Amino acid sequence: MSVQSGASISVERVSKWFGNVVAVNDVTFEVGPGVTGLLGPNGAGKTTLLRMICGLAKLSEGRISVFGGDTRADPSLYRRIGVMREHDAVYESLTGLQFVEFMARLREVGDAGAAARRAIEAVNLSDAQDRNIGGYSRGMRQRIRLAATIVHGPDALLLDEPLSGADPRQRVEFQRVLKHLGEEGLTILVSSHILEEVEQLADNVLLIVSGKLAASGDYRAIRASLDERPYHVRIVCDDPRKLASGLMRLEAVDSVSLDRKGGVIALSRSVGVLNRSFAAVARDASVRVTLYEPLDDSLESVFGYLVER
Amino acid sequence: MSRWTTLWRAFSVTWWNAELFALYLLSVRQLSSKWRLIIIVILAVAPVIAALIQASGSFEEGSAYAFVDNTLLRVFIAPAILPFIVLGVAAGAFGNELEDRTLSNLTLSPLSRWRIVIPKLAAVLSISAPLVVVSASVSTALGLVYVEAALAVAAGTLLGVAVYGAIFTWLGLITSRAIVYGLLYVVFWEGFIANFADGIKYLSVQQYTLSAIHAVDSKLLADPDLGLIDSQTALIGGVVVFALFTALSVYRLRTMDVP
Repeated sequence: MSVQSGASISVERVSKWFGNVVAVNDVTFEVGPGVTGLLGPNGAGKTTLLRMICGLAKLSEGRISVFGGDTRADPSLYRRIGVMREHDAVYESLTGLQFVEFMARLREVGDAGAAARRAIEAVNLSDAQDRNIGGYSRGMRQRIRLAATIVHGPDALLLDEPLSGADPRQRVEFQRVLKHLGEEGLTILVSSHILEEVEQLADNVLLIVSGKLAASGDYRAIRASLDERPYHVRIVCDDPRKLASGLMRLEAVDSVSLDRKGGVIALSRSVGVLNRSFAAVARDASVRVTLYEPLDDSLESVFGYLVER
Repeated sequence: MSRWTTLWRAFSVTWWNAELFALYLLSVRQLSSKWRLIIIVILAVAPVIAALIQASGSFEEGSAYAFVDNTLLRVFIAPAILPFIVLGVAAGAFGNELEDRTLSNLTLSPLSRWRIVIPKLAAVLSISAPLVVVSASVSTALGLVYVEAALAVAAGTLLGVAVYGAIFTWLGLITSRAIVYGLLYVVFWEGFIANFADGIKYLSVQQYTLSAIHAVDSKLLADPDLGLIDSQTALIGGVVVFALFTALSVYRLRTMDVP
């Protein structure tokens, strides 16, 4: 894939290896304004890729450009970039306000105090801004780090697993802030290993598996292709043969077999249809189902399927 | 407006402005942890106690010089107290940031890398220099009862603090075991190899320190058998090593993978 000009972030044939281990392998993509999700299972290379984009790690091969420049060669680009890392890199002895103000000063913001208060207000943490960060909950730390990331009014945000450790209410709040920033025209690249998390945040997705870019583009198109993959389901019931015969009549089922423990294993390429229809099949066959268990539901298997295609 | 005022304003705007001062203050705060301060204060007090014990006896000029030269400066201060205190402080300047992964907060800023290194180094010197200089000069003054000797020791140890500070700050940036490697360097290179190989003396911070003390007060360390390098070489060597390791820190910060 060739990289077109005009994108905020361009990643061109980038690889990174540590000794014999290839962490990122010949990845090319570009990111423009709005929220883009960088999705992949743990260990897929998302963090390494983000670290290279923001200039924390050297590239083994390839080229990365952020707003037309190289962050490792030109630190002035950090005036336009905000980076929130996965690690909880805060100064525990500082108050929230002191921390954000310090980050504002490092980024050469004129009135650092006022900018810090505005950023803290944007993440709804003004009430706790004068408390030491050491006493913050995990969710509060995430929010104060987000405030420190946006305090200098960057044009692009690179966020590595920003929702990890946040409770459901904090996740909703965090997603609201990010969506709002994306709508304001910021370029936001946010990594996650959770499909549903990215679904709620980003329309555009970059899917990375085993260091390679497995898919990119509109989230719904990728989701649709995920639904078409072969999918094994194990069903335990009181009459496996009767249920197997009923399932075979479904168009959504490609094949049916019985395992040694008496379970029914159904293979389907329309898992959504199977999920909706199997209960009716069981009822019509008068069998009592005690377990319905997807066998290929791990993220690794989902992403692995996309890589193999 | 005088020329000096103009120069100072230009300096303070381009070199030492709000972001550098903020980084300097944070670094001082980070390096002033309770246990670190307790340990280095104990180290700093040791030569003063030794001098007090010596001073409590009868004063004879010959034995006083022998004590200051042979015990205080050549056994306590130059080879041990000075490098150990600076190592204890400087190793943490970047070492702490690497350990708790906050270094990225600094490197992900638009500051050029030398503007990160300079405040860190300034924080190291601000904490270690007063302790070392006061400890060394007070203990010398107690041993010899005259001020010139104390000033000479203050000047010499200040040079030593600056050079060791640059070396150990760099060391903290390249390894997580800066204290161990720093101790090995002080014991083997400065304490052993530099004392036995003539050419190596020119690459010894201990030599720079002792030679600078002798240059300011020629009555101190006056024994020709000590074989100190000349003061000009010591000064140039000190400045070169300081500049070299400061530059190496800047280079390292620019090229390293930040965890």
